[in-house]
Amino acid sequence: MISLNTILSVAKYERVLLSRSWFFRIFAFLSIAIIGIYTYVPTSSVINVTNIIYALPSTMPYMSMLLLNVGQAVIAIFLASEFIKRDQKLDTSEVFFVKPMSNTEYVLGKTLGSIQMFMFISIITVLMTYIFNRALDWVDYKAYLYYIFLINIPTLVYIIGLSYFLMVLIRNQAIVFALLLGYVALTVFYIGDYFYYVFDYMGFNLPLVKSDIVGMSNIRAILLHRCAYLLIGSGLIGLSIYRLNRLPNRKLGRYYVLAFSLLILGCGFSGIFAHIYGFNSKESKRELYLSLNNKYSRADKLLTDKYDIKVIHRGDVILSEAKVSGKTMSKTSELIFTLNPDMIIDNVTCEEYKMSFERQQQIVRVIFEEPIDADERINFSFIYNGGIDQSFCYLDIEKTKLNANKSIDIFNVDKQYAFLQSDYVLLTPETYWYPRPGTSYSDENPNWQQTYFADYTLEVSTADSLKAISQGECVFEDGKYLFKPENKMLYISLAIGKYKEYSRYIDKVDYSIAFIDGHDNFSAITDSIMDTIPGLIKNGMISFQQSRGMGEYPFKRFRIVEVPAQFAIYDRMWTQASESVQPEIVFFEERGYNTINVSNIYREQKQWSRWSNGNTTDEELRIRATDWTIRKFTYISHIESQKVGGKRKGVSVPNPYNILPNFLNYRINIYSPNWLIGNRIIEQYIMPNGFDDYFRTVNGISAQEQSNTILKDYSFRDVVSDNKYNTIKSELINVKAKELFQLAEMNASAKDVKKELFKTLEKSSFNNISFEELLDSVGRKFSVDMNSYLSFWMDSVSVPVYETLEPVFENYKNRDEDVYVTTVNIKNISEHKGLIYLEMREGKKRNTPYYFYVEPGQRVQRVIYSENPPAEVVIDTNISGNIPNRFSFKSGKIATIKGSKPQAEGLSIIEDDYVDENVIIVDNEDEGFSVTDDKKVGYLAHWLNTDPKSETKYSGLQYWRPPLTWINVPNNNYYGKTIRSAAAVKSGDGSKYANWSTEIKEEGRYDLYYYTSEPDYLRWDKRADAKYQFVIESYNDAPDLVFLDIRKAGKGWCLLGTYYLNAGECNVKLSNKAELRIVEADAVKFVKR
Amino acid sequence: MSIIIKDLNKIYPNGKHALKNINLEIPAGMFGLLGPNGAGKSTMIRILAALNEPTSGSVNMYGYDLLKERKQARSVIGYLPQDFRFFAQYKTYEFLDYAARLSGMNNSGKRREAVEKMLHSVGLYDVRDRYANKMSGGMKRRLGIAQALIHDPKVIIVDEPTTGLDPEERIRFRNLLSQAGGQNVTIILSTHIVGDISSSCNKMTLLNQGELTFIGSPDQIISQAKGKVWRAVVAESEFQEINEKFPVITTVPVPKGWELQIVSDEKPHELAEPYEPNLEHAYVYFLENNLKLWTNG
Repeated sequence: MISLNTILSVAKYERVLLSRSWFFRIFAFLSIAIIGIYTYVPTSSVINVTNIIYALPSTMPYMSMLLLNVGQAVIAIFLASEFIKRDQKLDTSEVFFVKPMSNTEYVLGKTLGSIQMFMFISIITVLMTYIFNRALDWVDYKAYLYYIFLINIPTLVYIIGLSYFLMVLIRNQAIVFALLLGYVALTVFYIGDYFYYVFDYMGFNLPLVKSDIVGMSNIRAILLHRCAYLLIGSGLIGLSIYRLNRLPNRKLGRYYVLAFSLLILGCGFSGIFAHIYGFNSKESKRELYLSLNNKYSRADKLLTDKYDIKVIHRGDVILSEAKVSGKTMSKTSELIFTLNPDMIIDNVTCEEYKMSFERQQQIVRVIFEEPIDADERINFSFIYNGGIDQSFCYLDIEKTKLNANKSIDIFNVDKQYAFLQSDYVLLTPETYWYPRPGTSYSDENPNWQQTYFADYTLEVSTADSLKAISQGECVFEDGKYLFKPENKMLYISLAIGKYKEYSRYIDKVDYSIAFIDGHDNFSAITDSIMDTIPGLIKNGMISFQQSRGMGEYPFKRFRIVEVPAQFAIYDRMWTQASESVQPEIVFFEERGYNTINVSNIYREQKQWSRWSNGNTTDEELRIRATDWTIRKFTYISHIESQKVGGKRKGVSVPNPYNILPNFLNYRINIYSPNWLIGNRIIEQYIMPNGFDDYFRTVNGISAQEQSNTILKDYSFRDVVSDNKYNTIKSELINVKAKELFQLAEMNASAKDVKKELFKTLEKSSFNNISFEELLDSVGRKFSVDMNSYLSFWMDSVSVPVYETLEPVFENYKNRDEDVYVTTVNIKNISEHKGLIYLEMREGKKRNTPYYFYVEPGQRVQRVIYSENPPAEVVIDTNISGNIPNRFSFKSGKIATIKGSKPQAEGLSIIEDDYVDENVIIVDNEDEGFSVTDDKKVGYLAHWLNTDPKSETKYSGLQYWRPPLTWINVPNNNYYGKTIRSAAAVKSGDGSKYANWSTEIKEEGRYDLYYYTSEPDYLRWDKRADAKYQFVIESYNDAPDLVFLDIRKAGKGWCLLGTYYLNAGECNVKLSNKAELRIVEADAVKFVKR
Repeated sequence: MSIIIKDLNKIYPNGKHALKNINLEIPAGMFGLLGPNGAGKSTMIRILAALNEPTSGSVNMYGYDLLKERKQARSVIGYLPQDFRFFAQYKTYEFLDYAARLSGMNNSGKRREAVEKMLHSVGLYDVRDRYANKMSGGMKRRLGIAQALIHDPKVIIVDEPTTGLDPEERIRFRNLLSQAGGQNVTIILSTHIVGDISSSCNKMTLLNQGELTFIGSPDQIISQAKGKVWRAVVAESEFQEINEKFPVITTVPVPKGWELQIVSDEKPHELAEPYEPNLEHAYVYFLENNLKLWTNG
């Protein structure tokens, strides 16, 4: 029998030991101090910390437990291994080892003592956190308990077990330290949330944020994970008992301990496998759902135009009746509907007649006894009940994105797509909570997404304390909520919770905010400016409409509705509308923890004003905060730094709260079974992104160039159906939308085309319009046939490449004329026809651009006359293999020519090229160019599959962070026939160099030139000596050292010197030894004299 | 009640046969375990203290089989290892309290009483709140014996307890041990200091190269050496010769040369006179005659 007394005795004296250990005391002090600072800061007005702390009360204990956990894990390693080490000094511990206690009692006592001490620190931390937490609006008491048990205890038991076990196994404290600290660093900094957080024993990446509305939504998975670690830790402690260097009291006792430990370990590892299985089974379910969708995506469906849905909310299920009315599209004997797989259908009737139906997961096949003719009206009634299987949602989103964390700083929020529990419900169209015709996402047939407008009514019964929210006018009668949307809609959504609502009529629209009772964190800011708010909303709406060329807001109400923190959405390839924006409704995250939070914006503004000593009044700050909050609904997208292919890149992230879908997607339904992303093309054309400059700085190439690189190998159809391009999809669609509508823009301005497009769309409000019909209508106006271009546009892989000569700027002055002539010379060196956009700018004045096609292999010359001196020529090669694809040439000094006539204005084809055999140019893009290569890939990165090959060839050049190894940087100012780029590296000791190598066929005197780009950073590195150091190595000759001051050199070819070069290989080397921060290697020219 | 050791063998993984077929019954009272370094004393002590396992054989510890009923056997053992140090973070009182708890003294009142009594009896009461690193070697050794005695064990095993102690502390320690040995208590004193055994043990054994070579009382082994110990004063020139031939126990310089105590069956020198043997002489004589181990090289 195990004696509790003995365990407690050992524990007591372990506590005494720890409490007198300076190491532990320092840890305790530092932990409490650091956590104290972290928990105090949000309560002070000194620094405005992450908004989530103010918004979600559970984050305060979450943060302090997480921080404590990291320190604890490290210290526990030291202390645990110290205990074993102590016990290895035999003479010291032998006086205890002869005592009659068992090994189990001894080790358990030691473990308990350590855990008690750490818990003591936890409790102090918790109390301190609680005190600071009270200074904020509210406290989530339960969360404190949750996090101690979910974060701290499992971590502690696991790390103690692992330390004990390794120590009794390896018996060398230094090696055990190195191993364990390496393990901690590996899991925290490297493995992170890989493999479904399996290695995250500290819970650092686990989604543990607790919502105040629905609590922890993934508690089962979290408990499984944490229990698994608790059990593994306990098992390892057991194994340490088995391996303890002391004779057991009973000979067989050891084996009992071994068997028991293995059993616990087995349970722990089963937990881990169950955790992985949980994820994998979701994935296999998703595969099944997708295969069913693919199978039935071409099956006949009902063109629904009316829905009457009744919902009774009971606990964690709904009981529902959906009356669906519509017309058959063709003669058919069965119709396909989709309903969430966890909803069980009791019966399907048609005009009181019970229909036979078959259910395969989400698919409902309603079978007619006799075929029904096309265009027949059919009224179905589905009676069903159940919950929501969330693995059915977002079948289009790839695994990595689905499993990726939704995290803000150190806080990880679980992702849920729907909620159905006794006190809260959120059902968006993505869940298919009511039967809808056809299938959900299919990766084989775009037809699935064809939706149609329908009239809806929705009746909801729920508990008395809860309120239902949906689209349309709401009447509450006999304990039921009846919703009747005034407009036809594509979908309907439902939220039920302890909602309170504030609303206000402004310009015939009912604006309201629905929030969970007690979650009002805005009134304190907005109450005093209530009179101003209508004006702010009105202005926000008007400026959105005007800037986007939109008509009036088409709905009678605009509601923002608070939803739990875990509610997750993804942006889609085929639409800009996310699940958080529904007709009339925008779902915003709990207390606006991430974005929509007026009080946080106010706090920031106030602080900013204080720092900048501004004279802004408090009222102005409140107005500004409210105005900025309103703007959160109107911007299109922002740039976020994300890890793409193992490298941080700037990625454009659509604003999930953007109200555009209410003007476009939920008002206009562009359908086309052939051109699947009609809606998105129109959206992108109307609202393009404008982040090209940013993309170039961060990623090296612009979004359009990135898209072009992809379109060089794949057709648009290939690209849209492949999830791997998701991070660049907006830009891809944007590029293709531009290409399509450029056909019309060639005959008018882009502004006119957009205006006409929107006019056509507005006419079809709340009606379905086909993509072809729309293009036809716009095309007619601008005399182009856009439809006939569609198949080429969708399916061809046609990316031309151009060589451009430097434009010639001349001023012809004759007796009867004084004209400026700009001559642009472009050759299409590819096998694909291409469209060029050419614009000549006189000062700041923008002239009408020229569009012209260039046939494969053709060289064209465009001569432009102007009265005023040209300042610049801008050439946009659109979808092309050129990098940059849009470039410009400044006119500089314009030559005056007298006595001769200029060439005629217009476009002409130039017969052939003159090749000067005395000139050899070696560019950094050519084969003759090389750099010292010192890129290394760590084994760990390799093992963790961070694929270094997936990095793109080009990178952005940032002066403040010069590249340590050579990178390729594209830029308008560099030399290049088709790709204007240079290699760049941080300056250094000369160990790195670039080499231009060429074969000199004929010996003789050569002028050697280097192309300088006059980089911007020369201005910032003002004091630095701007000399580049070259070595010229002619075959069989001693090398020559030459310096070039690139500050003095200006832009263009600059003479390095004249050299006598022998026949054979000649190398020009540029060393990275320089005073400037960056050394760039572009192009070298050899000109034979 | 006694300790009965039967056919005890210990062979280490490196092949060293540390204990060879030991058969021994240790009755109540002080029992000395004497032997040169490497004789197997520590191995035997560690086996008796249930710290090591024998390769074969059995030990019955006051009715408990040490191999099968280790918990019960451990409950009757008090042990003081040779080089006793204890954690610097414990105070004297705490250490003793911890030892008492681990020995199964669960009643806190009785335990407190026992600890205080023990502190008094080992003369450490005044330093009960002192940390280990602030105590002298003798105090530490007394605390060591206190922790071994705290639960009134039947068997007290002490390994080289007086090494490094000054004479005063040594006497004090011996007295403590003698007081502890009641009627039904066995105290096993392992030592290579012959004086410790002669002054306190009524029975002893001599262990050499893993074998028991003598079991009996100190008087028995002394009587074997009667007439074999000589005292002689020799000149410097003779000293070397005698030293090479006979075991010389003591060498004291005197004005005429050296005064020697010599163990020998025959008269080692013409001027040698018989001398009354003590345990040390007997120990040397025994080793010399029975084992022929003695060398002065």
